[in-house]
Amino acid sequence: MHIYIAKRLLQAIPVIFLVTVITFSLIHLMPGDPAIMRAGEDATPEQVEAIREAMGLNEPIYQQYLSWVTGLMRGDLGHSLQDGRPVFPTLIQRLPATLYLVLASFVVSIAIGVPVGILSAVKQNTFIDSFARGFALLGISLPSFWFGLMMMLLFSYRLQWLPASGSGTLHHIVMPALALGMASAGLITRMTRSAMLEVLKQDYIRTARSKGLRAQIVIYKHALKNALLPVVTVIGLQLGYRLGGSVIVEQVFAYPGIGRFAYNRLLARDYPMIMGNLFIFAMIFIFVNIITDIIYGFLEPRIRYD
Amino acid sequence: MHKRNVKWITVAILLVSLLLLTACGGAGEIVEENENGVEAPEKEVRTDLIWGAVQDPDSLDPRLTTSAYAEEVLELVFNSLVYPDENLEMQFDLATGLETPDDTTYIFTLREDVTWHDGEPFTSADVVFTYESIMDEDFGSPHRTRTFIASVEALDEYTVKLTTEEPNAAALSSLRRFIVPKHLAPSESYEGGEGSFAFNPIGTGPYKLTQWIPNNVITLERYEDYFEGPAILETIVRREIPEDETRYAELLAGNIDLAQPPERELDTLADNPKFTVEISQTLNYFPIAINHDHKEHDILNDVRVRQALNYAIDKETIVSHIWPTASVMHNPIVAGTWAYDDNATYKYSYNPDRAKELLEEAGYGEGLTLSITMSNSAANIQLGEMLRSYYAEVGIDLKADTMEFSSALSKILDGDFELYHMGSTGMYDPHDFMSRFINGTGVTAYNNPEFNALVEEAVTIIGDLDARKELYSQAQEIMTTDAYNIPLRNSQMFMAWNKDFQFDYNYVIRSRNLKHAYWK
Repeated sequence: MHIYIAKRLLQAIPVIFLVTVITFSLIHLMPGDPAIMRAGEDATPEQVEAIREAMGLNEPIYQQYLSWVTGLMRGDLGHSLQDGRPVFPTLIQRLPATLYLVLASFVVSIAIGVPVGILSAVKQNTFIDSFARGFALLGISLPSFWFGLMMMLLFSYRLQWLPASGSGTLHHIVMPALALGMASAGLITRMTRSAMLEVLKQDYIRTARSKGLRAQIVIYKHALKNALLPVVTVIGLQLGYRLGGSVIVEQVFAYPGIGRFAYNRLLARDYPMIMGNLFIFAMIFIFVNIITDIIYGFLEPRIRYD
Repeated sequence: MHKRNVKWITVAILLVSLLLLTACGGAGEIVEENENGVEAPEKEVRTDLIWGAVQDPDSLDPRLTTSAYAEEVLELVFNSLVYPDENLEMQFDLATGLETPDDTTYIFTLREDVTWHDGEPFTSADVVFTYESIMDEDFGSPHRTRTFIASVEALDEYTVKLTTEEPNAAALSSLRRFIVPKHLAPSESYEGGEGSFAFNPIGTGPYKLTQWIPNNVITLERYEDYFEGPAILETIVRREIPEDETRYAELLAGNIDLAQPPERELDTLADNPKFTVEISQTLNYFPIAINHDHKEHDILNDVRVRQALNYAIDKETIVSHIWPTASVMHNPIVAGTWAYDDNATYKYSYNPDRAKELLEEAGYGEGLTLSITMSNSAANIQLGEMLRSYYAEVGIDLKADTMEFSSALSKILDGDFELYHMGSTGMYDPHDFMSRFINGTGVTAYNNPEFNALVEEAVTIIGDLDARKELYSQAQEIMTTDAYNIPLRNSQMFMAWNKDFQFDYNYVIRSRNLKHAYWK
């Protein structure tokens, strides 16, 4: 087990290296640069050039990469080209808000997805099942920004129950979490349903039932426990989509997370900030992946770490 | 057998929904409490303002930004030597007097009662430092080429002398740059980690910045030692709410007091007795610009083609459909400002037959393919669709090339476009408008020797407004008959605020007037 973890960590090193190369090249391949954004719409070419020079963007590209990577190895992600803020502390400061949002949306999607999925499987081919499947399809298909705006129309504009923007209290998180969690709720409903149907067909379920066990014991103890593994996988995979999806939801609800910030800095071509952000996201992904693999082993003892 | 399970599951679902509902219900109670709280203690006058803003500033070092969203904050934190009033006349701010011994020298006497927010006194050294760093090429200020001075020097602690190379009528209005403190502001702009001035600025203005969480909130607090006496509002909280709909919902719900509403809601809002709505003319000019120096072809250098491009579209219909509050413009000088001459402006009315004739004459009778570069805002996509159908009628196949703003800007500044649509802002003196079209140095590379001579002469005339105006009239005639580009619109700015909030808003003064704003 320890060897396995060590191995996974070692494997992460080339991945991280590739991430730095790819993020750096992608960002510098994008049209537009921070000097142009600073110069404004009526700037002369020589003015843009002067700003580019002052920003250090005229150095050869490999040199810019090297100085970024050396900084990185010293734990220094640099400073914003836009307002001079130090990259790492600024990003880290905003991370908790996004993690909180992602967590809340997890709660929403599991609290909705798992029970509806079970209900749908147990009541296969009934009206309830069709309804649940329709709900799942709707959840997956509705764009989060549209769903967010519709909720806002109802709860902020008409009923004035919930604030339409900002953060701080539980009320602020309800709509963003629902908007972000809806798609995964749909997906989890479908996964739970199909996994449950699969398991309910198994011999041991028939055995359990013929033993005369109560239905809820059969469903929760025998079926659900075994159906949960694929669901957990999906939930783990969903983290990535959530971090990505948070950008839109944070924008719609003016929620002060890292997603909205990253989006704005991307539009402004604030290179150090974008690279720092991508790097931190990549690290989170690698970390979550390793953790998921390890958790897998606990859930399913047949998986071996060789 | 399944019945009990179903029941159990139903209970679970109900519980979850109940949980959500209580959360919602909780919010409702809090709102009610707030309402009661405000009403109960016999109309206690508020001293704070919650302002819903569209976008975050890029930087709060005034030397390093041209963003209007930065400026609306900087206007509260900093001061300048002079600033334009609503009639675009320059008023003293940090200065108390101006002497101009000759046409190239400006000697300002400064206020002696001004202090920085950290308590240090403001002196001429700060003015010299600010202008020197703006003019320093290595500093990379976007204001450098827009500030028409050659030297700055302190004559004594409260007197500064600024000079221009040539007599320049636009120089005085270009001295509206915000002054930064020499003892705190960096003299090298992009040195990583050198300081925190750009996000933690210290100014002389009526408000000091106490907090800036990017893409979230900027908190300003009244500066008690402000030289004109403290402002009335104690705190201004500027929340960034980028989505129009969200901002509008928050305004209606009373969670923010002041905001820019969506354009299509202006009529509804004007009928709402709870809000004051102000629509104000801007100095923004949005043309469809033509590339006069395309690298691969000279189709657009034919005046007949450019005129045809002007005749082929119904500008009134386009503008009133996409931007209901905006007005059609015919040259870059905003109608209503002193240099605009309606008689000297050639206006291309919608005339597709004439457009076809001109294209025929120019040898493009069988058609022409052109492209327009612009950012991918919803309005621009609509514009692209309308333009395409108008131009298709006269045989021009227009490709609307929409992309994200900074990519579009990059293409435009590189001269890699045939037509583009983007706005120009911040033009207080006619020279600011006209100088963008002389000697081929502007983005469009328009270069007409006759026009160049007129504009260059006009800017040297100081004190004789009529003589200057006459030259601009001639210039306007030349550029419009020349179809230098396809002028489109002058945008309007609109703001709405709580009826109880007393605020005198106009586009030129903008947030500067917040220092006089108060609650009834």
